[in-house]
Amino acid sequence: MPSAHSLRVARLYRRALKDLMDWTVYRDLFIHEAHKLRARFDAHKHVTNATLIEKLVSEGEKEYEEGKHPAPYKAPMNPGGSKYMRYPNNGKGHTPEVCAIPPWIQ
Amino acid sequence: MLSRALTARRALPVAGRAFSSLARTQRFPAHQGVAIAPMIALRPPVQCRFMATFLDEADVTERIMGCLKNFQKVDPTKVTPTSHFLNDLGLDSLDTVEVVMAFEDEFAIEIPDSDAEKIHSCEEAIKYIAQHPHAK
Repeated sequence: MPSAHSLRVARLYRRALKDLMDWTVYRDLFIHEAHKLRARFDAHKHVTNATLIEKLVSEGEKEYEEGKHPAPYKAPMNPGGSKYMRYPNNGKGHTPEVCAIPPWIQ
Repeated sequence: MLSRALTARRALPVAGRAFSSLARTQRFPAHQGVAIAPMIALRPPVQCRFMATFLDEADVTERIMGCLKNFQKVDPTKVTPTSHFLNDLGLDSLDTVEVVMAFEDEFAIEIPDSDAEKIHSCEEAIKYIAQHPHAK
């Protein structure tokens, strides 16, 4: 049931998962850790006391801020990525000569 | 061919100035015919990894439904292209976060947090991904 806090919690969960992906680069390890993270969220699933919810969420946000990755992964085309706002060859992409695999590799 | 195109390119602003007294509609055909056509002829369209292309909506629908059916908490028989994650599939808000992240992995894109919050149903996800230029 969506409540006043559910958006804030979902936001925190998403950021925490993304952060976990930065720390644990191997997928099997990530899935294992993600299950543990989910279990921590689910442990307080049925809390209805607004004061307690506020306390838990702000603790979680504090933990996230303190433990987040110093150099998170950025998708190349997104802001901060290496290909953000770069349009080679007038937006048509690289020419075939540039894309071709050099013969010494084959 | 190249030198001709370059000359045409250099001549373009001059031509623009020469025609500036004329109406805009009259200026455009001349401009296109003289300068742009040889330049286009020089460069055939090149397929490339980083060129912006859009995925076909039917393809996106199929892949999104496949993604959802593989999700542990979803009943595969309930998945339709219009189903709502919370109301129809019985997922909670944290499951929705996981589903959207699965879509990100499937299409090799990164959805900004503000946009990811707005995806609550298959329809919205399909619309977002079909309009995403870098979805693969």
